Amino acid sequence: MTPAARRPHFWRDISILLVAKLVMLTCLYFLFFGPSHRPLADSAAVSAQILGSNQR
Amino acid sequence: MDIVELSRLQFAITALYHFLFVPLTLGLSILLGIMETVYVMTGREIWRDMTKFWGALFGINFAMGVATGITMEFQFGTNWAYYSHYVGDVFGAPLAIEGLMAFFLEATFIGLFFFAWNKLPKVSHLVVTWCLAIASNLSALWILIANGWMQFPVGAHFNAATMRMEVSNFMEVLFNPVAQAKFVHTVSAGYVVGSIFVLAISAYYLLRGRHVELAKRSMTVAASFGLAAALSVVVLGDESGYTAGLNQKMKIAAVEAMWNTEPAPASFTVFGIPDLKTHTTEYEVKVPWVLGLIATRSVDRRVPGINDLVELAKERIRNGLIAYDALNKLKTDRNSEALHEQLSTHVDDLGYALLLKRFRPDVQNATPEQIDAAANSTIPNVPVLFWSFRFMVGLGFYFIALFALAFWLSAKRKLDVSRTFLRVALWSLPLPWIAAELGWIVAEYGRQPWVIEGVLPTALGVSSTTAGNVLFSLIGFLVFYSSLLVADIYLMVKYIRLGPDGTLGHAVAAPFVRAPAE
Repeated sequence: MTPAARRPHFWRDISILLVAKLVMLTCLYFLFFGPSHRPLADSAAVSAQILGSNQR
Repeated sequence: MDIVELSRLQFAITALYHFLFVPLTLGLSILLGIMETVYVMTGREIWRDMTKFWGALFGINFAMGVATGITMEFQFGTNWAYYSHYVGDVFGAPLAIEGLMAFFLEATFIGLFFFAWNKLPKVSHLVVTWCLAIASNLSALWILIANGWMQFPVGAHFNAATMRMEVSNFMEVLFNPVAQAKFVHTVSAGYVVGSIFVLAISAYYLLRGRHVELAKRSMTVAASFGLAAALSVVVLGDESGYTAGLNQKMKIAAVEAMWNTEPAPASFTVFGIPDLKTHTTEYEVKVPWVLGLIATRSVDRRVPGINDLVELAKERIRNGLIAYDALNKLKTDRNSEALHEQLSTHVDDLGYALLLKRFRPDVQNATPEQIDAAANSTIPNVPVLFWSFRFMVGLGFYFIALFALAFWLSAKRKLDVSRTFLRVALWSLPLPWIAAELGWIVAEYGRQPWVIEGVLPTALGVSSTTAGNVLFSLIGFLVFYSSLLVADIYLMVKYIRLGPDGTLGHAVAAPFVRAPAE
């Protein structure tokens, strides 16, 4: 393989990497971090956390 | 492990992993600017090829690193919901600006850097490269402003109605001395990482007799910039330690394993084996005066020891209980001036009363023993901090020596003469990352038990979710990050082995070949 032929592989490698990463991040988001995984924490919840008697 | 420990572990792993990429981006971006500046000034093509080759490795690092920090922001919503509500008004703005800097400004200039070589005049491309370096550094500034506020929460006040910290003076948040010192220390550490990276890879080429002209020039740039950066890291690290001493006296005392207050100026413990149970340090080797001079920059101010700081914490817990009592009563009597007055008088110690939540839910009824236990919980893990700091500092001085030697060899034009030096330079490659991670361990582990120093204990910032959820997401993270790490090392090794010729797709120009006129 000549050096000139290798050059396009750099961008191919980077593109594959970025797409794979995007897919993995999307999976992580839907599996663990989507809105349904976020517990409510408003003023009332924080008030209960700090002033309430629920021990952690 | 309970949910607090799992959430902390997950955040720590994510942050430490993310910071494998950040310092190399910070350091390499400046080195690219320097190399391209030489290219524009001399017109010699080898400097353009150097910029492009190291730029390709920068591109791999950026592609791997970009968005690895996003998962930390995911965690604010899932694992740290109470923290996010409690301090989101202050913490949110710098975090959002950092996102804009990293994803828009930096990404735009990266696109121009890679794809505009043949489309922009030389000087315009050089401006783009420096803008890329500045944008990278600016994104670090904003995240460190957010982090600095966690260490030294200025410019904000507690609002009892909304149960959160709210910004009262954004300029104080922006010009927080802890954040500013942390920023310059961190970016300098990034410059050291970038310089060692270039030095080590260049040494690899010189050892194999490949790309000798490019490697020697790269090494010269890395040695001179790295020497300046390594000296800066030490000076700015001293400033960072001094500012930490303004409000994180326990962190400083823990880093020094200083159990008891000494007469001023305090001595510095070079070596010792700290024992958390007995509050003693065995086999101490001390240097008189040094700690007092570093920590207070005076000969007559004392550095408080851990045991005295625990006594102070007991007082602050008792004061905090007065604020806590007022806050509790304000929930049913919102308009009471007396209660508002009582809260505002003691609100600075409210966080200390919240330390008692670990020991009993109804903190107002805490026993003296529970107050003692809460005060003792303000002591971070002394042995870990003591040794992390010493290894970090030791590595910092090693980098100065390595760069100074490289600089001297470069000045004598003997960079490729000593194979021992080249081997040492090559095998030093992982060391700046280790030093940088140790620095974060000192900064963040040393802040415990606080998530916001003196304001919010870590345990109260964690969401009401289950440990199982956090454990599963932690496993998901480990799979994600391990895959990325394997891909990163594979690509880096692949393109380093290919070398500049293979990566750029053409033979690197001879040393004195000038680029054609535009």
